[in-house]
Order: sequence, then C-alpha cells, then structure tokens
Amino acid sequence: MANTALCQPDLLSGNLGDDGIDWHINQTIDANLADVGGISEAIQTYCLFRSNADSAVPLLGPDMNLVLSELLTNIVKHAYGASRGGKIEIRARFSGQFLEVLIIDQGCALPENVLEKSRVEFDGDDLFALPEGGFGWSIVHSIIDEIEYQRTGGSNRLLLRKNIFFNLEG
Amino acid sequence: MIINTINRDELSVLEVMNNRIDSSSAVEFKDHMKGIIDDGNHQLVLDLGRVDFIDSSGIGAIVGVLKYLGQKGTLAIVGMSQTVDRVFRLTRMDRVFSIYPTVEDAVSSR
Repeated sequence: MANTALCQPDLLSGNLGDDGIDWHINQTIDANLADVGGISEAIQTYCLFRSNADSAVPLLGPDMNLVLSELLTNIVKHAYGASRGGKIEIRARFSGQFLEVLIIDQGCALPENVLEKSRVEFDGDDLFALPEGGFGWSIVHSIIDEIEYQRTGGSNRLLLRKNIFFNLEG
Repeated sequence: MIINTINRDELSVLEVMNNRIDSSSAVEFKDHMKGIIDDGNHQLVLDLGRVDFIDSSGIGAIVGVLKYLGQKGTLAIVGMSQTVDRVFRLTRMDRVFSIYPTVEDAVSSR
C-alpha cells in the first residue's frame, strides 16, 4: 500500500485547502445520513467526467463515491454525533497529477489513530465474531494515496489526494 | 428499502430494488431481512442485481443478516456488479459469503 503521510500544513498560509487554486466542486450539505448519498454520487459523476476507461484508475469515480460515503457517514455519526444542525462542506478539483477532495466540518476532532494505515482483522470461519462495522477508515486507506488533516478554530479540514496517473495500490 | 421476495421451490430469492445500500438505508435493509427470516424464509438468495453501490454500512448489515440466520438456513449472494464486488473484496468479506454470478448458479450449486 502507498504511504499515507500525516503532514502538518504550512500554517502561515492559513487553512488547509485555501491555497488560491480553484475548487471545481464546492457544496455544503446538512450533516444527515440521508444527504450523504447525493454528494457521493455527484463526486463519482465529476470523476467520470474528468477520467476515462483508459486511465490508470478506471474505478476512480466509484472509488471516490465509496470514500465520500464512508467519511461523510463518520462525520455525521461521530464528529457531530447526537448534535443536530451541523453542516459539511465538500470541495473537489483535479490538480496536477492528483484528484483532491477537501472535507470541512465543525464537529469533534478526528481521533489520531485513524490516520494510520490499518486493517480490520477477523476470522472468516467464526460467524458470530464477524465484524459489522469499523471498516470505513481501512477502505479509505486502501483507495486514497495521501491524507492531510488540520484542526483549527473548532473545524476539521481533511484533504484527500488520489494519484490519477499512476495506480499506487500495493 | 424495497425487497421483492420470489419463492422458488425451497428457496427465497430476494431482489433488492434500491440502487444504494448505505448508511441511510442499512438499518432498514437489515430489519426488512430479519422480518423475511422471521416469516420462515431460511434458504435465501440475495439478488443485488439492481444495486450499484454498497459501503461498509451495507456490508455490515448483510453480515448482521448472516448472523441472524445463523444455523437456521443459508444465504447466497448473486448479481453483484463489479463495484459492489470490489467492496466485498476490500473488506475481505468475499471470503465469508457464498457468491455466485446468477440465481441459476446459486440454485445449481445446492
């Protein structure tokens, strides 16, 4: 698997993702599970529009649909939890050799350990011990090449990068 | 969440009519499936032919159904698209379930 770097952004330049380069997609959704699917499908459409079957990552659209669903579900359930009325901002752009997605919310901070690569281990023969959850971050790490996270002023900013010219999956 | 039940001999073929099984529909899906099992349907073929998206919530719900069924019956999954199959592989749940291309393949394997 490719390395996922936990980088501290240059804080002199301000908030992660506010770098003067245009974002082609910029949407804000209510933090409800019912609103996750719409933006996830829209990101898939955006990726399909900008890539093709000959690319190094022909599953870019469906993969990003999956990544967004996993992360946005986590934000609704865990970052905002029982609190209501939260918003989540989603931005996307193609920049150089990467697809970049930025997710901003005002919920609780991300637990540190989720940014480390991990796998959900289980015994496939032990029916009643099969996990029914906890796969979200391992799925994200399988697909995304670089992740940057910034906690600032009560906001979480998560920047995802996927290389669209080279398939870095291990 | 709409699931059509088609009875074929001793099998119940369950066609999921929604295109996404995700965090917004996973609980409803699992409850619906538990109801189908409680009604006495225990030899199940889950047809995902109309589903083009599943995430870990959806996978977890199907695992929950498998556990609920336990030793009472069997669960086969058919009709997976490439993208749905990929999520089963990413979570390594492709090794846990009996997966076939079509209903006929699941029937003839019995």
